[in-house]
Amino acid sequence: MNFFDKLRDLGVKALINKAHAMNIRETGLTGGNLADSLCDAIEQNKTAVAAALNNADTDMVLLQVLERDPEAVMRGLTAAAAVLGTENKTLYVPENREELAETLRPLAGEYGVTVKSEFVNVRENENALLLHIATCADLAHAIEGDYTPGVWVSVDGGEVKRVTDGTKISDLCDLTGAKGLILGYEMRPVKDAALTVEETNLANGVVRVLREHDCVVAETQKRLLASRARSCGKCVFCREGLLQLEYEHREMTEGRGKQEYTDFTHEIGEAMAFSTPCTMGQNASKIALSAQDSFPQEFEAHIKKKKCPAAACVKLVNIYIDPRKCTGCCLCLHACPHGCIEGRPGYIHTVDDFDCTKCGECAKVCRDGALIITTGRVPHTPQRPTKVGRFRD
Amino acid sequence: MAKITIDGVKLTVPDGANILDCALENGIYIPHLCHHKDLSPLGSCRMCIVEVEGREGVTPSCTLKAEDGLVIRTKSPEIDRLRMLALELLLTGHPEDCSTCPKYGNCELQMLIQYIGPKTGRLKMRSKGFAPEERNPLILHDMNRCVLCGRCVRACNELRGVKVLRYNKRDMETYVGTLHDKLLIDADCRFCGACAEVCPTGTIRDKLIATGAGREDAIVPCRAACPAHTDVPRYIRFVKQGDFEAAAAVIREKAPFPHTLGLICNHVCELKCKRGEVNEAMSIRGIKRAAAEGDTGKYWRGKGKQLPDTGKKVCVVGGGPAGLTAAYYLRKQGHDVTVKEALPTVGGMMSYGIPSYRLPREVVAAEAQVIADQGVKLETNCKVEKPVELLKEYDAVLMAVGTTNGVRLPMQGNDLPGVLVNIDFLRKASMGQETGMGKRVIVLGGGNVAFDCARTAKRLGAEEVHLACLEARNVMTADDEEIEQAQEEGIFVHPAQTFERITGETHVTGVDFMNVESFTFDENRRAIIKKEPGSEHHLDADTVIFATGQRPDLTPDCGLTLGRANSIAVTDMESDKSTSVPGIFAAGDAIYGTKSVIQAIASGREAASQIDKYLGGDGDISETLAPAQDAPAYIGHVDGFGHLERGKPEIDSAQARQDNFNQFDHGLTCEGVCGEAARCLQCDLRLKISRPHVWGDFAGKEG
Repeated sequence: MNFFDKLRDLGVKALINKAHAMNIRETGLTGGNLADSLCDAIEQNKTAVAAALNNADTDMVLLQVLERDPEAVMRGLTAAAAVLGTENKTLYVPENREELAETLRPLAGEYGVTVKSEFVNVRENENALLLHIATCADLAHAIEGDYTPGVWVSVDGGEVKRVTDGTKISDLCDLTGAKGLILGYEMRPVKDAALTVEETNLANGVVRVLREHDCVVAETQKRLLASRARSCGKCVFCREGLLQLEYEHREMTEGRGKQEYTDFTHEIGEAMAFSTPCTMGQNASKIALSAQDSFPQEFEAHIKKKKCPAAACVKLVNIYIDPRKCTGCCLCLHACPHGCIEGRPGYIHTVDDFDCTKCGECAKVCRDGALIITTGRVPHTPQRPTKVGRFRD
Repeated sequence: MAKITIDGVKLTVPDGANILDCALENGIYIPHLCHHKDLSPLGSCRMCIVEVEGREGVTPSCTLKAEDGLVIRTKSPEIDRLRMLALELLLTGHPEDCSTCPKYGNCELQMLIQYIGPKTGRLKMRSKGFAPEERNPLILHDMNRCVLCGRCVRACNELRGVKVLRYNKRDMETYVGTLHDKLLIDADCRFCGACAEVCPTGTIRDKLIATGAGREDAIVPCRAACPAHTDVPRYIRFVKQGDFEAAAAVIREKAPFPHTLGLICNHVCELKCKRGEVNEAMSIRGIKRAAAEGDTGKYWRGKGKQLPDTGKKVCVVGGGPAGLTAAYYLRKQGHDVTVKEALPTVGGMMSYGIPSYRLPREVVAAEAQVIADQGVKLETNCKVEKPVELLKEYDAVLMAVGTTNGVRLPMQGNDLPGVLVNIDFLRKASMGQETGMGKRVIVLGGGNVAFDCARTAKRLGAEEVHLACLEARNVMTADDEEIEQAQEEGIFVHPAQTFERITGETHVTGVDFMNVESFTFDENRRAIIKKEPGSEHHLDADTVIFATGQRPDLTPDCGLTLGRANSIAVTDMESDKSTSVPGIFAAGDAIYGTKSVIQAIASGREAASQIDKYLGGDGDISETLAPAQDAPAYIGHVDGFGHLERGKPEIDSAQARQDNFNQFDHGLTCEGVCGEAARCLQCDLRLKISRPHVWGDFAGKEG
């Protein structure tokens, strides 16, 4: 029996009952019960359905659900529209994925779905029931009878997989050497790995383990920057708030952080959460707020001591050439983009600190492990040209 | 209706009404920035946040809808804190140079800063680094000043439907621009100015800044430029809608000679037309002509104003455009009006100056007939020598005698046989009398009258016609159209020439000229002419026509004080047209020198109003003739709008027109007229956009 016939035979009531019985949870920020959302939408006379990723989602790993099985998403969208009695169906793919939208259009045409490659304008979608792409897929599977309760997860950027409810975060990843976790839109302490997937709001499907060399501050800055890049920039708090937070974190990673930044993060970040209409503004500051709460000592190290405990913030580390290991090969000298390595063949090389940007290019080319990047102090190095092997402290 | 309470004030407002608008309209100020009454609420700036009793947190009042029982608070420490933070954030991307900003003093953002007093110096400031975009006509974009309130985008998309402005993003900075950053003209902007009107900052500005009293005039410059202030955009819109009758009625509200003006108006409106900045000015005169020619008088004939007789008698001396206009409106005010005209028919320069190939006499006669039909008595062949004596019979006299004496420049040979003057020449040609013209004619002068003389000479059979003037070609006062058409007809135009002397012993043999190197005016407005040494040259001719100005045909014997260039001295050219003799007023060319028909009409109207007041009336000669107009704000998108070319009239070839006095300009075609009317920028629509509510307007009410 084809899907449309099945849908018709089932009828609205049975569809909702099915969603209810299977207790389908919405993927994404609400995390609520799909059956409730459908009922609310009927009550509010919503006249359209739109499927999309969260606007706040900058990792976009859950797009794989659509790419792998676009038909399921179309069907789920169609079923939700049938519940509302509307033919107005839109599938949003991210704004920079027009080519994906194009490949989906023939199939979408069969289901009467309009595909747009856009950031979701929530104001234009006031009359629409907004569902996550993954929720649509779940609904389709429920109708087909092959739904399993669970969530979609990508661990450390790996392929998205279906994880059944009850699975603990710690079951999903190797926690050796872990100092923290990114779960959904937040940065969390390692102890939260004891939580199950349904206890954690993995709205964007992201699970990432932060290890020794991952800097919490730099990671936060990177994610804030990604949000800035995606934000449509129409709302003051999202546009300007994100910019302030991102600038502050960048300054922290460069040793220019100020004590009051911690307060600013709270003042701006908390206001952002309730001062914008879409998930971008509501969630983009969460990474900064949660990072500060979970890892205060890392922020303190960056701001007060100007040190990066993970040795990942290049501006906060020292680079020197170990005079005992240098073989005078000149590779680093040629690799340095700023010409701040001194030396000649057979002589011990040294780093001129003044112009060094700590870019680390030299360390990448050194075959002898002589280029040392450290958060600690720099030992004595030759003050005048010294032949390899002749260095005395 | 919903009963709501804002800050303790009980209001009854429609269900679902916008709370912010309700508050503002009821004298309660809530700071706001992205909201504009005529646009859909956006809720992005967070300035208008309020607290609602029973609800958690704050909510923007612009997106809050009225429902019964709402209790709203617009001030609280938390509201103040969040507003201040929002404004502080907003300002991090806005330059701190209010004092040098062209919007200083009229900037809504500046007023908001004064009201809220945000913290400063805490957050990172930045310059967005957008270069001001000055290449667009009329509108200037300075996106560094933009705070992304989005009003312009909504005005362009929802209010106007033009859909040119949009949000773009580059290097993490969101900004307002066009698709692919195209210039406005290439993005099919309609240059309606709504964006500049709603912009609360100095971001989108008019290139011609318009504030205060001159604002309306600067926004609709055609209407302001017209001496009679004809409502140009309104009649153009009627023409576009195909209602030529209504369009003609609009013109008639200000001038009783629509058809005449449609043919020969010097159209200063077109010189100021904003469309001219985009590509080519509107053919306003062409549209007016079409309206007049398509008119049957449906809306005005026998309608309009006619006050009951007052028993007062007015005599208008001179039946030109100024006199006839004044007579017409004085009659409508209920006075008994007599026009005394020296020549056999009324019309003045419209009948005896402007050649009939430009203005057929039937047109003038028909429009004069309307004035006679209104009850004005026209006495022709009746020259008034002693106006003061008229006061014995009349309660008031209007001197609208025009300038009917041509000026002969003081130069050698100016009284030789064969030397003619413009007015006499044109009048005789008009009346079919012998003009005294020979075969080779030189016209001295570069204005429209000079061209009338030259082209009339050509049509009367002159074999060779030259026209020489002092001004360089680009500053000649004649219309370009006149100059070009004359040249097509084989008339030789010699700009930048000094007239040295008229040669000849017993009859004109020619004129000696020198080339002008430069022609400027000193600080006392005296002409300074620098001649090119050794450039003397001579043109043979048997006829020279002076077309170098006219003066009123008056002598001090007339009993009125005369002013500069023999004009009648009036108390004030605009506001008080009374002369040295109580009860005698003056208007038209006779008071300010030779100008234009429309200027004369405006002067006549003003005189009518003043005389009416003098005779005890209220001086209000205004009347509404045209029906109410539907002027949709939603003008929509038109492909290639900015590049639409000015409609060209159908004109007979030079061959066909140069030997006769037939009208050769057949105006715009029927489709041409509608297309031309559709090119209008509709600048007047902008005046219908609501003005912003700023804190200062509420200051008094809040105590």
